[in-house]
Amino acid sequence: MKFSRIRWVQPIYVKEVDLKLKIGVLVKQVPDHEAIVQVKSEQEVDIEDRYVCSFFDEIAIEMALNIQKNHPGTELFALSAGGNKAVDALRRAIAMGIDEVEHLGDESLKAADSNYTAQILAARLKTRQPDLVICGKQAGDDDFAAVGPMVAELLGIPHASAVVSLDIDPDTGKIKIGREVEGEIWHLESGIPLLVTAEKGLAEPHVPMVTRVMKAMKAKIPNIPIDELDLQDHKPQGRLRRIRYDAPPSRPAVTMMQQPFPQNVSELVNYLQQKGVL
Amino acid sequence: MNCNEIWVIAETRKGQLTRSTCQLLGAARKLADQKDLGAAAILIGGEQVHADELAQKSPLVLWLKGPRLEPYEAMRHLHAIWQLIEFRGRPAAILAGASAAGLEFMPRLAMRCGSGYASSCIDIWWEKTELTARRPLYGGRAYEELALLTKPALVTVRAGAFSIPENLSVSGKAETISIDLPENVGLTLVERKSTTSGKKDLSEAVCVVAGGRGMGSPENFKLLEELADVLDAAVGVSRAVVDAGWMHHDQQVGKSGKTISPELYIACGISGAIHHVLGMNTSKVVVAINKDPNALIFENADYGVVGDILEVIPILTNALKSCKK
Amino acid sequence: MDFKFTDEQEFFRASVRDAVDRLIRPRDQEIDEANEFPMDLWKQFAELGYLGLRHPEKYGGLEADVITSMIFYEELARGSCGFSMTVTMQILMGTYFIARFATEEIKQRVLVPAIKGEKIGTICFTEDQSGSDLAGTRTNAVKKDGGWVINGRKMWITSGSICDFCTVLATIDPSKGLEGLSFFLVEKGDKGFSTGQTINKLGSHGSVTGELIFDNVWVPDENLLGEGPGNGVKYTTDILNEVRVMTALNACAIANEAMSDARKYALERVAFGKPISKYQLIRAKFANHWAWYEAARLFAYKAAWMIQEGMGCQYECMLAKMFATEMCMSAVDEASRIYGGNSFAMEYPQQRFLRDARFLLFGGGCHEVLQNTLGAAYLRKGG
Repeated sequence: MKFSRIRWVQPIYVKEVDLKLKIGVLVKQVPDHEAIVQVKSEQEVDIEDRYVCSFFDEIAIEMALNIQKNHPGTELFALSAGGNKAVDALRRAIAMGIDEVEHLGDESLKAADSNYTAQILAARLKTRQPDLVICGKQAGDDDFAAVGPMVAELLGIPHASAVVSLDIDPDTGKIKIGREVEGEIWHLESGIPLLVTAEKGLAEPHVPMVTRVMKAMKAKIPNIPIDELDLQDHKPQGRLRRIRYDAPPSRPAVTMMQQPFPQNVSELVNYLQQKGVL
Repeated sequence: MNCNEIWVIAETRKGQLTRSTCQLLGAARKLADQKDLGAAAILIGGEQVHADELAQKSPLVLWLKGPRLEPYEAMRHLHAIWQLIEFRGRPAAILAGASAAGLEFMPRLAMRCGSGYASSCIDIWWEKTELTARRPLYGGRAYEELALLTKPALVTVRAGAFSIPENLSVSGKAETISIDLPENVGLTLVERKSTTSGKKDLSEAVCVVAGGRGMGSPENFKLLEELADVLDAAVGVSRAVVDAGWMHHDQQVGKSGKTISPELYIACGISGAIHHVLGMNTSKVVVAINKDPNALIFENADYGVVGDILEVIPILTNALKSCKK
Repeated sequence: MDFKFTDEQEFFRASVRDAVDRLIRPRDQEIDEANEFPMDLWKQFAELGYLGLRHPEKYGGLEADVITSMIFYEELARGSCGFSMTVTMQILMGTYFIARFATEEIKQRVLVPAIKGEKIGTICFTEDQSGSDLAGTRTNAVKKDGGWVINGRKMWITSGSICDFCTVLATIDPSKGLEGLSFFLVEKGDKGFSTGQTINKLGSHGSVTGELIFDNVWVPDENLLGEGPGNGVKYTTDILNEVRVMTALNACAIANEAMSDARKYALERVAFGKPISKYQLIRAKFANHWAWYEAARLFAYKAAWMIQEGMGCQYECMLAKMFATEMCMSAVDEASRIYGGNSFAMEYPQQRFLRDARFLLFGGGCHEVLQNTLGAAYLRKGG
């Protein structure tokens, strides 16, 4: 099993080498959070055909665009590894403002896990050599929050998850990151290359202009088949196996307090004591 | 080389072991016993007091010491654990809490080890020889059970998924292992700023009191804070409150905020829209207070009160206060 | 026969839906209650570039085809009715004749800023005593001094009090009846042009509707829009097809919103121990709505397709409008019945759907007038 070693390189600062940043954004098409999901059997889940670009990925796209606005000359591209629906996430990226996009893989990737997805994305990123990779913190389907860190490990670059702020210091060329940790924001510094996963608050996705929507509608999305990527003999299966699906446990019907308050407050207090939560 | 152990990566916050760590130590012991494995707590950096406390909760503590191990950083944490694996062997499983840190470094470690990794799980058990985990999908609209097929198997576990067992105490021993960490690995921490000004942390809290737009104004949240005080609870908010600028996103409960599983969740003036519900519906007991009898939140509650929150909350607070006495 | 929208059209629809969901819908109730034109929202929406939907690229437009525009109107109508009416007026009726007939100078002065949302436009057909009956138009234009003098009052003008320009239907010769009608461009600032009273409407709040007064307003010859005077009715027919299909899809959108909301309600509302969605009479309402809604929507898109294909479809467009608006009347009525007493409360959206939907019966031709015309046509030409 091949894996990368940590690269003990002195981090490069954007200003020092007077680099125009190249930023790669990773996006995924997922079911809308209001789409109806029904567990039909242990092996099958039925999902309403309402798909959108994952919420945190849109934030990643917007962040990349913001950096480009502040640093003209920044190159942006977006990648999506997935089945045929992945193309729609890339159209969304175009509508929002990223012109260069690539669809990696084919329908066989429809149910790919984080691990395999990360391998495919990393293989392409190794060829494209971005300075900064931005992706969503977690995807709206499996909420795994793993692809970002896994890609960073495969590329051998540092990463920060759940980033709420990112700025490039014009004097030092360092990338300043704010990371949301329980009850705190940790302010970190980095050079490039770097990967960050976007948390809510990093950027506010804008509503795309119709001219870009039209452009995205008509765009031909380039595809890179899996066998053109150097996956270093990784096997798609082998680390996880899904045993079964299950419907979410349903709560028994609510007990409503009989009116009126305040006489009946003791009823609520007794209920809480009974349940052992006081 | 394999070592027949289950490791728990310990995490500290504000100088103490997290509740999640304590829960995992209990779970790890149980899983280890079932398969005749050892259980060890892994402390990276930290103080003697942490090692001592861990030794009371785990038969073995592997204390990784060395320069630059603190404060936490993903690549440095990973390097330390990897050195331990190279030194001691691949454990059967590595568990960590699904905290900001756990979710950040564990997938990276999994890729380093070539391991199967299951994230944000709510239960772990053995199915024959495979470690199996249960986790929510689609924001909680479905669940899946995953078997982890590698050594080690890596799992991050949601806070509140396991209860801390009563008989956790044990007299464990601590072993120190020196970790040699080169310079320039990972990111540099410049400063840490508190956002909740010392308020109780949502993910760790046993009890959470949450407020929505129905609270009316940010000033009214004082009532919630008083109730939270009596219950020793953390205060959460709905997305609407964050969007209105009343509270920080750090306290948001919901799909784009935090997903929590406290023992008691009291939803005040929260409509119960699905993106909020998906963040709290695994709570053990849910009480909802809302002036609208048709509010969606009552669908996901165990106990409901229809009334004006601004009246109900102070009355409840007082009743609980006198109860305490 | 292919009944599917293309992937491109679906993507466009999803993008418009997203824009409406994020910018307009959160303010639906606020706009309805304030009953004022939301200029800030107008500016935000204009920045997205949709106002140039049907217009040539050289003026900043998108040259979208008919079906794409209809998708836009349908998605837009899911949000605030008043706002969507103002936007549609701007894109469709308010600028149509300028884009089609005006001189280059006028286009630069009026059309280009209109597409940017900087100038608001409208069209003036209706008068106090004449609505569907165009021959009853009294506003007149008399040739004078290298131009025309316009006199009259127009009523029920969308965006009347906020418009920067308008296209006025006036008669140059009352004795010629319909053949005397022509369109003229009048701009804010033209002497004698003023706004009169605003109508306090039952619904469609957010759109301002009122009276426009033309008191000896002189406009130069070039402001006569069209190839010579007297073509007003012919041109009206051209635009009315699109207006009617747009109205039909408007009706479909409102009907769908009302019933979707009622659906959510039916699933939660408990009566006599179970959710009302379990009762047959409630289920019948949804079943009926579903069938009629699908039929109305299909018909509307078929009419749109006929327009796009350049087929003569005057009657199909009228039928689509008539059918869809009737369907919508029923849908908002049934939805409010499902809601029961709660539909009577202003805090729930059902009352807004009821109020907004009502105008559909009159806009683009009164329902009963259409029935008369269509009935006569049917008798003439057979089924």
